[in-house]
Amino acid sequence: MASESSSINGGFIVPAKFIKNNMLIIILLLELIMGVILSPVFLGNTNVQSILINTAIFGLLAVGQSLVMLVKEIDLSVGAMMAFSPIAAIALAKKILSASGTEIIMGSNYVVDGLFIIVVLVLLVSALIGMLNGIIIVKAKVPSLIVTLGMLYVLSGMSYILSGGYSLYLTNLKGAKSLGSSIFAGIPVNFILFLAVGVLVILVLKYTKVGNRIYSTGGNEKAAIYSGINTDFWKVMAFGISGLSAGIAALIYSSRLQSVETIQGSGYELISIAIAVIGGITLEGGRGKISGAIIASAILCIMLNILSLVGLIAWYKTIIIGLIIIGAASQHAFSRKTS
Amino acid sequence: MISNGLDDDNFKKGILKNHTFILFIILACVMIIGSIFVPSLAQKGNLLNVLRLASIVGLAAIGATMVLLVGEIDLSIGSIMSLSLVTGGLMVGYGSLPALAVTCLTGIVLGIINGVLVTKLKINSLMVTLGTMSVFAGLANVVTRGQSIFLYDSPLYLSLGRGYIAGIPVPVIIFLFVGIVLSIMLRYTKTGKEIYFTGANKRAAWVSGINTDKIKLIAYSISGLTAALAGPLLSSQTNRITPIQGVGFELSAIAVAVLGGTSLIGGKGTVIGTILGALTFQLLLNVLTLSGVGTYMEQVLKGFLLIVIVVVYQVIDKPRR
Repeated sequence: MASESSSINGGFIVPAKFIKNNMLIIILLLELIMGVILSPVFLGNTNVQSILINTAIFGLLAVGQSLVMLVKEIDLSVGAMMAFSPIAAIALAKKILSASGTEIIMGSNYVVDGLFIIVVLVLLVSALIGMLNGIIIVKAKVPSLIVTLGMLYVLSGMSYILSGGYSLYLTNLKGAKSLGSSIFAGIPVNFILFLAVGVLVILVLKYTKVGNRIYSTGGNEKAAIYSGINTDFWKVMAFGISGLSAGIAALIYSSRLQSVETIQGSGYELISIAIAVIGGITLEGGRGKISGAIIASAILCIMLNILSLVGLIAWYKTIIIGLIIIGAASQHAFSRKTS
Repeated sequence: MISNGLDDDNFKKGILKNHTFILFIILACVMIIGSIFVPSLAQKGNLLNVLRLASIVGLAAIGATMVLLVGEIDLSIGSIMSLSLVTGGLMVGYGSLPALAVTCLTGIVLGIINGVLVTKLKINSLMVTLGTMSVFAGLANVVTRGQSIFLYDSPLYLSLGRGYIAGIPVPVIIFLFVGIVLSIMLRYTKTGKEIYFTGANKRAAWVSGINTDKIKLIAYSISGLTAALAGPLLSSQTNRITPIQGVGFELSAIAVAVLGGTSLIGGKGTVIGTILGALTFQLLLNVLTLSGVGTYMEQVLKGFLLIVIVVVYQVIDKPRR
């Protein structure tokens, strides 16, 4: 394709097109070079580890958010989900296990037992609440912005009620550390998990009919319905996966910090939307690639890391994130116009 | 209003589908049931407090309503509030009036920035205002270096949030004034009609010669102004201006607008609805506070009710779609 267009339009088109198609990777490389130049500790082991873990957490949220945006909806509840799902899971596990005589919370707030059941419950709770979002949206035909905003209030309030506002510590819970800090072949396990989830989603979208269904649901819902696609089902699925990925992100976050905080993840929903937009996924639905969102999560995390290393205060970071969102969104708006 | 009560024959059917009417019923029910279970609700001091707080969130919600009416959204309301408050706060040393003037002016300018980005760059407004929300919030902290500005020496500024004129709290007067002015504008002026047309069908509005970009710009600058106006009313309650004053305010404002029957798709909604929405919102919160369910339960119920009411409106509207 590229050589064909070059023979017609002259050699100049090829690099321009190449740059346009690989914009995200080029930005990522430029960032890496900049990081190396600006800070001597950028390539240090601990710094790389922390970048990878942040990328895993934000990336997981962004993959879920991207799927939701592909079906032309939006999910504002992912941040609150990151606090609610582990807190609710621990509360549920406590109820279930205390029936069989095992007490999983020692002292006032040290979790000591029941890791397996807690992990399963986190995944279950997050997926179910995600699907609940989807079901309300498709059944009542109300805008996802409002439903998930309402859910944000509900979940963050519920996390406070269930935890009483106190942190739950996982330091005495055997095995709770492993997801957050174990390393396989020099790469954090959680980052490998994130890549595995990302690759799985990409492959499913590419090689099964699921991809076609999701993209047509977001691209032209009416046409999709007429061609026999159950758009409601795919929307519910997208929200379910978004919730589930927030649950996995919560597991990584809590495992890394060895605690469950009531405010963890607050505000992350906006970052996940930002990453999806940088990755080329639009709010108009049906466009964009998950791989873009995965690279974009690395771009954003590395950029935030560089800004910290050069000693910029958090306030400037929020300004820069905002400018990037506007810039990324306008760039897509322009490319849409020209194409 | 524009979509309701057009035909007198269907008046009875219409009134059941009128969001304002339904909201009024809800408001009355909350009031009656609330005062049965929580006697202190109906006390004068408490009601004045509800009115005052409803006015503050309602002011911002009126701005959100204008933007929703033209079919866009403004997520930066809270950040506009913070940033305009602190820039105004820098002028507090020169007196209350310059401070308030700068606050309002900043709000309008920030609103115009939003409007220009949405109309000229043609970016999705959710994205633009998500971005500016982050930028303005950061700038607000940069301006004051994260510090608070104290207001003890500014009696006029403080009286905005705390004062009374003829027994009515000043915020309520400002709120009603802005509400009435914008209500009249929406109903009786050309610009008002153009706002509804732009939101209902942008292309048709554009074809029929309406400068939709200008209309959107107006909506965004009103939103900026009302957000900036709500700021001093809030900060004079606590005697100080903090750079994080408006955090999360945009969501309350949009929630109130939606509660008031404003459609997220555009072209439908009224300022009166939003005023009733603000009253209902604040009264509900007050009932919950007084009945002692706790702050967190309030938040849960707030979210739950928001979803329920949107679903109810959707069910009512269904036959018309």
